[in-house]
Amino acid sequence: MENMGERVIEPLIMGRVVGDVLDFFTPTIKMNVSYNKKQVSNGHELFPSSVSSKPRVEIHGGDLRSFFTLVMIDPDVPGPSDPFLKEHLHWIVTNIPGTTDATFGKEVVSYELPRPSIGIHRFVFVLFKQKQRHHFNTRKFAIEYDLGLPVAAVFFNAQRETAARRR
Amino acid sequence: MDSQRGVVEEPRSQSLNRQGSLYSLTLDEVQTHLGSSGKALGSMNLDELLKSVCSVEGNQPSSMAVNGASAAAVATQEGLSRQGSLTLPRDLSKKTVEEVWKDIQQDKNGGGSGAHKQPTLGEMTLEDLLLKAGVVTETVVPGSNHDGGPGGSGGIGQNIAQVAPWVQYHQLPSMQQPQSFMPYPVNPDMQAMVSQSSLMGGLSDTQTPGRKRVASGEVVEKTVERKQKRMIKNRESAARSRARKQAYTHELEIKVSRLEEENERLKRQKEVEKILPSAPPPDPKRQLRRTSSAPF
Repeated sequence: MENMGERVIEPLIMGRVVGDVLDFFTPTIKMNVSYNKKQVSNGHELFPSSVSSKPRVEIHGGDLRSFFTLVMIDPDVPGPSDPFLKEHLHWIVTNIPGTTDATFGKEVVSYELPRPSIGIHRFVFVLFKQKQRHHFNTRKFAIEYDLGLPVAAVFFNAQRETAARRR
Repeated sequence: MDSQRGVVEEPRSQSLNRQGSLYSLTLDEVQTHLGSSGKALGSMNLDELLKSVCSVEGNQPSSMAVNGASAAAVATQEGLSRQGSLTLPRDLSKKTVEEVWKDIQQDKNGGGSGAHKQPTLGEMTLEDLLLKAGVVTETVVPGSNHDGGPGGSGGIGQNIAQVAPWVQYHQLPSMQQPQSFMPYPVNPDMQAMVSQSSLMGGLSDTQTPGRKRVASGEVVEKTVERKQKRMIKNRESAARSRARKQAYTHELEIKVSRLEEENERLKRQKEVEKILPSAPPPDPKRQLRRTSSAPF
């Protein structure tokens, strides 16, 4: 795992993203978000016209068997002085494999271009690592999502297939 | 000169308020400040007098804006000059200052309330003049309860409804502003002159008879509220702006330091590679080889 340095999160704290949107956390993945080859830096201001299409989101870290979820939101709607509509959801991409980019994932909520009406808004990209598919627990899952007892079930058998056996 | 008036030049602490600050100018001072542009004070009529005073005030926003609370001051001053002159009743506005002065002298001789202390016209303050001319009631109070009707014919204590809110704008900003011709407490004698008593000091204007006065009190209160809200919003906006700026600056600092480190590392690596050739030989195992024969 890369050494991220403790300082990486500081601009997020200063810009009140940690606070208004997120709790304090320790970054472990290097994520590059870029619009038209220009990388997004914390606190930099971009024109809405230059962010009208979805950006390239590269995940530098993890491995091909780990999956990530990306969320993009605006916490300053309709305006930063009175954000009574916070937060506005702009984009969700799930199942992004590690070391790849968002195009390899599933766009669950399609990208909505930023259109800040009042004042200067922050637009935040947040990356989560999805829980592993191994060690899944059906019972626990049912409890977590308050599903109760199942209503149906069926199963089949299978083993490794070789060319010889297929014939 | 009456000791009650004090010395107007001396900048007083603004914890007394700016009540009647405009009015506290003596006519001599008004003359001075009008300078060569005004005509002789005595022959001005009241309309002209007030207009020129207003424009003097309006021209002095920079001297008003001494302290941090200047914005409100400038606003009130500008509001003042924008409001233009008071709407004087016709019979008064055309009177010249001298005529009004004569009237006052006559009143003094006749009525002799004994509260007049100014022996000469020049030492009279604007406030006194207007008061005695019947243009204005005492300036202390935001919500004095004269009824709003047109009333008498210019006698003392007549209330000109339009005057009141204008006057009150002065009283709102209680700021610390040492100025050469402004700060001045209201002469307590004024109160004796006024026929009706009124609320003091505060802006809460609860049960006063007379609709117009109540409305003025409310207007004042709302204005203050609005100003405070605006100020708070402004502060928050400024804080957000600073946060944005600091976040970006910090981000850049971090990036710079990271890039510098990487630069150093790469340079050192380059040095090392010069000394020791470290390119690995091609791996023979990678070359193609037959691993299985055909299955027949």
